[in-house]
Amino acid sequence: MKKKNAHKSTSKSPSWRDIRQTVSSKKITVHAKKRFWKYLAKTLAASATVVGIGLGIVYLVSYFDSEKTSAVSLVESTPIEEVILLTDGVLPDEWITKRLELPDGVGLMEVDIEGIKNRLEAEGQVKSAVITRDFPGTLVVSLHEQVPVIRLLARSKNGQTQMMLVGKDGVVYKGQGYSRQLLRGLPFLDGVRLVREGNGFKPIPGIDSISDLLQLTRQEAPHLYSTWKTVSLKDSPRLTVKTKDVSEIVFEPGNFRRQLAKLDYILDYYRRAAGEDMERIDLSFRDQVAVEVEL
Amino acid sequence: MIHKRSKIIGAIEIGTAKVSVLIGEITNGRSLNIIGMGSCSSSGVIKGDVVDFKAASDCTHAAILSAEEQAGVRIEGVYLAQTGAHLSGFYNEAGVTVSSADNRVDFDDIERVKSLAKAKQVTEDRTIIHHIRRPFRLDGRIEQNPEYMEGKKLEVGYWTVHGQASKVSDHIHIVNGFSLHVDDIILSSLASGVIMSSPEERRHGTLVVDIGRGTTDYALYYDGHCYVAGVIPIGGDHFTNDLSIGLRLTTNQAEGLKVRSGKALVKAQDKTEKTWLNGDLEIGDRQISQKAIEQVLSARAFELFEVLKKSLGNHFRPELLGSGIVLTGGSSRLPLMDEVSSQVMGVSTRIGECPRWVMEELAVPEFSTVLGLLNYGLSYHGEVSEKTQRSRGLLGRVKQIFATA
Repeated sequence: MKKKNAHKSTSKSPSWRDIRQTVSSKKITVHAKKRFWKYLAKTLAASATVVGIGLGIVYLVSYFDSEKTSAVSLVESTPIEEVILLTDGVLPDEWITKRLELPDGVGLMEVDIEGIKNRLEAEGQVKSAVITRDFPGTLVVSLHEQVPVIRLLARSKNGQTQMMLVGKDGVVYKGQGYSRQLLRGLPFLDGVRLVREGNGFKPIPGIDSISDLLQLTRQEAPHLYSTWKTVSLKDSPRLTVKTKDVSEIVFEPGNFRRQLAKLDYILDYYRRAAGEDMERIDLSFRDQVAVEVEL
Repeated sequence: MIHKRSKIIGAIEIGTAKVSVLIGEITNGRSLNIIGMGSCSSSGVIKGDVVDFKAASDCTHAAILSAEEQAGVRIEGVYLAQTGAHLSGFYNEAGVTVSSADNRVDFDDIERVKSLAKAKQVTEDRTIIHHIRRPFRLDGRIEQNPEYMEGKKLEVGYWTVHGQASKVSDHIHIVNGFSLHVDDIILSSLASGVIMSSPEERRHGTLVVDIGRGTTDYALYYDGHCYVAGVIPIGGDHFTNDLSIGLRLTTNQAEGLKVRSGKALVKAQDKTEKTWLNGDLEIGDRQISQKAIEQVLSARAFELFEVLKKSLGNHFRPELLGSGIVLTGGSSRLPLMDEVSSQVMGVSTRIGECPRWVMEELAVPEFSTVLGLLNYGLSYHGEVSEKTQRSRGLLGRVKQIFATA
């Protein structure tokens, strides 16, 4: 090999290959410029395609790696477009909306639905609340409200007396949205001791029995119900009702229909026969009724 | 569709009349498909020399771009044809005594004699285009490959073609201006010679004459080797100029007249035989004597071949031209040019025809040079491919391990 090179070196005549070929960056003709820009555009397009495919692959890999997370993150950015309020009771929309405490433009996935549920259920009137995200941008609030059975007067911490309502399950709450007529028709509860709990009161036991009696009376003997002023649990489990006409009517738990029938008969009988006011009617004796007449 | 194991090569001829570009696809180092063709009328080039770089670049680049768009590929390097009146050549030979004791020629003897034969210097402003080797002579006997043969004296000669460095540089830089590299420069006459003549014709001896618009390129073959190649500064434009001056015509009129009614020999007997100048029978059209036209053209044709004969000098030996003379190039289309050649050179002459594998659109003398360039590229890449394939054998792989170690 060395010998070969030695022979070649003897020829020193300049060859055309010694002419320096300079591929100048300056294109002097439009055709060369056109070719250059075309090549540049193709190169850029190819690079962009490669980068795009690369990014696509990276995205797909990350997507499949954390499918759950990325699915959530996709909807996080969707703000709430509509809030649907549903209730089986009387609570007004404004009252509910105020308690939702939704900031403006909040995303659907950013809403603390558990917090809303707890806030709503902390109000005694709401028996249960269901908060639903309806994608892409709707929040549905469904409320199941208490039905007031009876009312009572309670003294607040600052000494003021306020009317409270009691549900069938004994929950004591401030009534919102009820009509005045409905409230006036409810008898008062007596003979119970209210125990404070937080900002409210502990549920009162034995209300279910009162509820059954009142509901039946309202349905079967509304003329009697309209005269009832108070229902007392002082002799619980027996119920003592005070009406306009009778100072004390005692019911024993269970079989309220039969007791109401007796009561209705006795009241009719005495009104027609004697016209005297009755002091006390005790319906808690099975086969007999004790009636005290005011003489 | 580009084949996977293919190589794209480009060929460019920047001629006086036009710029021709071909793009070929060499598949498996053996077959050549022409996939792109571009052609543009030349400007800024006179007698093969670039006189207006910008104009010459403009038309050259347009032709390359057109070929690339047709081929749908981007070429990186090209083979460039070189012609021009500045090219000339000389012959130099050398001889060495066979060095080995058993008088068998070895590789070193061959390299030594080749080196000595090519050692003749050219002036600083010149640059060598080709060293065209003639056959080796071993003790006077002609040998294709003398290695391992017995003899005492080994001789070889080279026909060296050289040109003006600045003019060669201009051609290269025009191509460079299109962000292309010139892989090799091939003399136009050599390129057209291999296309217009068969290997058998070259072995029997032939002279290929490429008559272009500005110059006439020639290549003389004996025993299958090119002995002499050169350029004479006479071409089709001279015929046109002669008509223009002799008959007082514009250049365009003279060119039209030459193409329509020109003949390289005087055949018209009657001076009253006329031909229309423009042929459109409109105002300004007039009749010209056919004999006058032929006389003017004939004089130039005879002169062309006289100059050619003189340029070839002692190298021209009609008795060794068994296959005669082959004319090619656009100006060889002038009728009876072959007859003039036969009369002056004393050797039978024919108009060259492209090989059958050349597609019809390219089978014209104007494309013979670029076709020759592609053929050269095919030969070169075929050799490279063959060597590469050989080196892929077991031995080749072992050699590669040592080479890379």
